[in-house]
Amino acid sequence: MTTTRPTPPAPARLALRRVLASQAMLTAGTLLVVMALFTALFPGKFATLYNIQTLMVDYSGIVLLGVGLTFIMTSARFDLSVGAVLVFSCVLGTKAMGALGGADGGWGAVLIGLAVCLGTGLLAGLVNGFLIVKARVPSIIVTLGTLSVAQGAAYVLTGGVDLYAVPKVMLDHIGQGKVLGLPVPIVVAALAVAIGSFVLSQTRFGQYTCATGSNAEAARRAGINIDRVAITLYLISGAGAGLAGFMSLARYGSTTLAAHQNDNLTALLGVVLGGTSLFGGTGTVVGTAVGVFIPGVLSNGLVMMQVLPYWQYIIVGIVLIAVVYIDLVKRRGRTEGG
Amino acid sequence: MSAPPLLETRGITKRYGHVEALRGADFTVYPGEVVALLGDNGAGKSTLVKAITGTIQPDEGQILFEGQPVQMTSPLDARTLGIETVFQDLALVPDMDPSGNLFLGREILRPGLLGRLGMLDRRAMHERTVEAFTRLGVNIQDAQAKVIGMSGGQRQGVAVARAMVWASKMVLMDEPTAALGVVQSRHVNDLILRVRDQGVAVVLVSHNMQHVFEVADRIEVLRLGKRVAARRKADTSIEEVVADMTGLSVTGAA
Ligand SMILES: Nc1ncnc2c1ncn2[C@@H]1O[C@H](COP(=O)(O)OP(=O)(O)O)[C@@H](O)[C@H]1O
Ligand SMILES: [Mg+2]
Repeated sequence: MTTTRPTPPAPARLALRRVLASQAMLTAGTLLVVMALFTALFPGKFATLYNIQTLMVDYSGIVLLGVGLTFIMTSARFDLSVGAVLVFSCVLGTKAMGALGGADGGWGAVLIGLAVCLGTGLLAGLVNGFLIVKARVPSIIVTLGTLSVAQGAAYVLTGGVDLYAVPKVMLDHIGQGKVLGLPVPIVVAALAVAIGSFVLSQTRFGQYTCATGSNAEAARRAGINIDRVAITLYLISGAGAGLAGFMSLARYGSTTLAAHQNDNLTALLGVVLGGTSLFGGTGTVVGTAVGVFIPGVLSNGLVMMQVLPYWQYIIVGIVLIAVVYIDLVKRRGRTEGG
Repeated sequence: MSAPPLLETRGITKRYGHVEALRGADFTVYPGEVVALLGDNGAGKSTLVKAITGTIQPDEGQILFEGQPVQMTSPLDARTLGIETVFQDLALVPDMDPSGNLFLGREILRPGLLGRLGMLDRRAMHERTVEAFTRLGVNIQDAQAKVIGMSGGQRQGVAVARAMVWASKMVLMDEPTAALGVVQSRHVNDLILRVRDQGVAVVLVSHNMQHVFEVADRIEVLRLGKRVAARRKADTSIEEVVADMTGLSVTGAA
């Protein structure tokens, strides 16, 4: 606190330097390298518009989960339930649309289906948030519990047999539909990323999300209602899961009971690869959107290499631990150095 | 003192399990004064500071502000009354820059629709932060760098500046110079006198007797969770205050 003040560098240049040095850039670089590799290995096969677009549609649901998870993990918590909530909302959504005409249902049925899927996600988020905040059970345990409950409920309600009662208009115009030449699932995911990124990085609520993840007690002492922030965060991730469920129905026309088992983990890996710290305090939604495609491109490439696709699970698991380890080492260095 | 007290606590108790951090603590602050709150380690100083600022809820006792009984149910209540605090642990958000910390909980939003969507006016907050740091002489080279990368002295500077900027009635500082060198400590002393001159009362918790005797108008001493002495600086000495703190007689302490 002496009064000599060296002239600071211009804020704009500093900001640029920070962006370039950020984890998101590193992730984008990694993604480009992997994609270049597969392009070289499979000329005319990997880097086709069709393949890339299919890949993006395939991973658009995981992006939706990832947006919500970015918020949760920035606040230094977990949500392991989103994959199961996705499936559960598929089941309730299908049941509702099935009662409203099934395959012959109109846009009214579709809207009700959307409301049911989102409502299911929001309800799950409310339960998660409430238990974490009021009962003070650690988020990893609460969401592991709701994962099990949601998954079990999905199987109980269907008897373990997939339901197919999705209106044809929904399959045609949402699952396979296009706006401005782009598949609707990609547009929906891009919108979610844009809104999520704005909220997390530019708004007061985003600021409170970071603050609770970085030093919850400091946030509380600054007069922030940290409990309300936490419940809102779980509502966001629940809504993301519900929307992902709806989009999954639109794409596959079925409740896909067994198809989403690894989505939660893949989304989590995307979040961490994208530069959101597992220890909270910082997060970027755009980073997540980029990060999610690393496991996506890898598994796509593995298929082309005619390696069994199950290898991706092994890779996802190992990379997850490695990335978190690196994050941990970086954090340790910073706090000890400061 | 003839003026009525700005703040008074009466018989505050606070228990943590079997530990009685405060056992009926009284404490008085008069308007516009610098009062030092002294006591040995574990005497209950930080606990009393937290009770006054609504950070913890006392088990028993009363807090009067400007003569009225007040319920400090949350940190927001203290803020609303114009009370700001530099906590012993600083209570900064390490992953945010100084302006994020300075404006935490009272962010400036953009005008118009964007503001109603909750969009922050980062530029305005940044400019006001740089302005406040310049005015208060806090030296932070990069006002957009995260607090986590800053030295202990710089962090303390951010926390002190935050309290100084927002306080309108009273500032509580819990060991604000613990991480500072001699020059910086002197600078905090100057700041304390400057806010005092603006009519803001200052409560200073410090172990540094030199520091205390330089700036305080009065000294109150806690021992084992109770007030054992309240003295005007002009009428006392370091030896006497140390005796109050330890409970040993002046000759025994020397
Ligand atoms: N959150 C807490 N939980 C348990 N004991 C506490 C807590 N806070 C303070 N104490 C205890 O209360 C007593 C007073 O602490 P404190 O107010 O920090 O003293 P001081 O600031 O005067 O050194 C100490 O014995 C301390 O260990
Ligand atoms: Mg203390």
